Amino acid sequence: MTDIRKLSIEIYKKVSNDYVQTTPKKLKLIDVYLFYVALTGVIQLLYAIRVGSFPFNSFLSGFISTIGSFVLTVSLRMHLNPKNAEKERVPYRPERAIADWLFCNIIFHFTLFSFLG
Amino acid sequence: SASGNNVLVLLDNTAMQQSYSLFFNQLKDRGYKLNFFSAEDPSLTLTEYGEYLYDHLIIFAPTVEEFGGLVDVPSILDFIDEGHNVLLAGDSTVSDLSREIASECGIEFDDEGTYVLDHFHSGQSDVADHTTVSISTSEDTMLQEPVITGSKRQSDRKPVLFKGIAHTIKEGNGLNIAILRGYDTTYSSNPYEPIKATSTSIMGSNTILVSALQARNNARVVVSGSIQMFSDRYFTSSSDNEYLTAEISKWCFKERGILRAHNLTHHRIGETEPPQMYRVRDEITYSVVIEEFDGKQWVPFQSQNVQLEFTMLDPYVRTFLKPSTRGLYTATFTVPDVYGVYSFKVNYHQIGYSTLSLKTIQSVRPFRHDEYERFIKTANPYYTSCISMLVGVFVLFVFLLFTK
Repeated sequence: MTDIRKLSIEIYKKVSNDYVQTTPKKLKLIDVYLFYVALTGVIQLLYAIRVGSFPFNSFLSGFISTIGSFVLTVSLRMHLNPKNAEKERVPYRPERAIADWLFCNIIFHFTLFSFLG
Repeated sequence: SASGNNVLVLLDNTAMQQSYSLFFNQLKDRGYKLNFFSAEDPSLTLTEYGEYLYDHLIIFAPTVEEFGGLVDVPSILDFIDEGHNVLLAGDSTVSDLSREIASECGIEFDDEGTYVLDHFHSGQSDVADHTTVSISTSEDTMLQEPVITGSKRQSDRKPVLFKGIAHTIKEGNGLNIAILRGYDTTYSSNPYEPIKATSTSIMGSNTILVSALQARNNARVVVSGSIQMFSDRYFTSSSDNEYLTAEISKWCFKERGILRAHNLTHHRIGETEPPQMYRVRDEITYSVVIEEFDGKQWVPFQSQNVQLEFTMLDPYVRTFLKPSTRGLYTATFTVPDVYGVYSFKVNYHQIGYSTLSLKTIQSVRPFRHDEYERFIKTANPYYTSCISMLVGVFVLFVFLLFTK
């Protein structure tokens, strides 16, 4: 029992240390943003469960805004990781990635705002 | 009177003009033009060239078997159907003619030869004949509606003398009103024949002495079983006959208890004209001026129980109309949530008053698409989440540009 506990604590410590030391600053920034987006989504879901999803279109719009932003930002993070570019043998183009991400977000939120009511 | 002053008086014989002079004189004093005819006069007619010559009819001819001229039961019933009023007096010897007229008005006289008898309330203390009955004007024998029976206090009134035949009416049908009825000790029977088990079928409080019909077109028919109730002899014996017959004739000839309504308006609060259609949940007010005829002119009517219904198959709203001193009745309410074609209905039925029936049709539409609330309060978290996502995107973009 104690072995498993010790092992899991060791694994957790190693993963978190590696993460803190090896990930670049940019990716850490995106990770914080992702956590914020996920938190907003969870809060909205809890609110809709508690109070009811009365203007259902508004609920969908708000919830999907968090999900969509999460997905788009995750793909941005994958594009901005240089190690991925090496592995896939694809040229590393961070500016193109950021521009794509911004454009997609704008169209996405445009649609959502019209559905928001 | 509110409906004209020409009266046709049909008499058994013209000598009755003298024996009933006090009654006729007080009618003349009130402005009526009395036309006396013997009931069998061959020149009698109610109409000329399709128009009625008279507004009211007094039939003091209980023994006449057939009216003369062009007057007969169908023409008298048409007269009533056109909204005119009739005062009919009967007697113990009332003929089939008067019976037929009364029967069409829901009034059934007792058999010929019967009298209203009451051994405990005789009107003649010196004679053993108890066919003259003295009826007090308290609430167990007289209808307590000042519109019909006058506003004199009961303590100032003397008993009413009555000698004649009883009749029955179907009470509770809403149109027949019993004005004077007998005591529990009153009954109707032939006093000159021995009493049998079948002698009397009308007794007690069901013995109606004077009753009235207010038809649905507001025509008024008053039937009294005793023509002598109107006679000078009874007026001058210490009795209330003069006052009561005057008051009943005032009601019968439409000097009292007549209502009319005008200036019916309805609109939204804050506006003066109604729109073509109201919208659900509008606040609207309805107002109408109701007046009453007091014998000479129209005065504002005061009552606390006039109701307004806002109806579409079922009444969705039913409120009281609040009176003001000038007779203006108003009500304010909110249009219900259901849309459709509604009608404002005022149906006022009160004993002794003419019926008031007002109906106005009005449509109610649902909300237009731009009349709903623009932002819904419960959706605020969703609004903020969407906006914050977009803001976060731009903030992250700026940060990404400026970090290595």
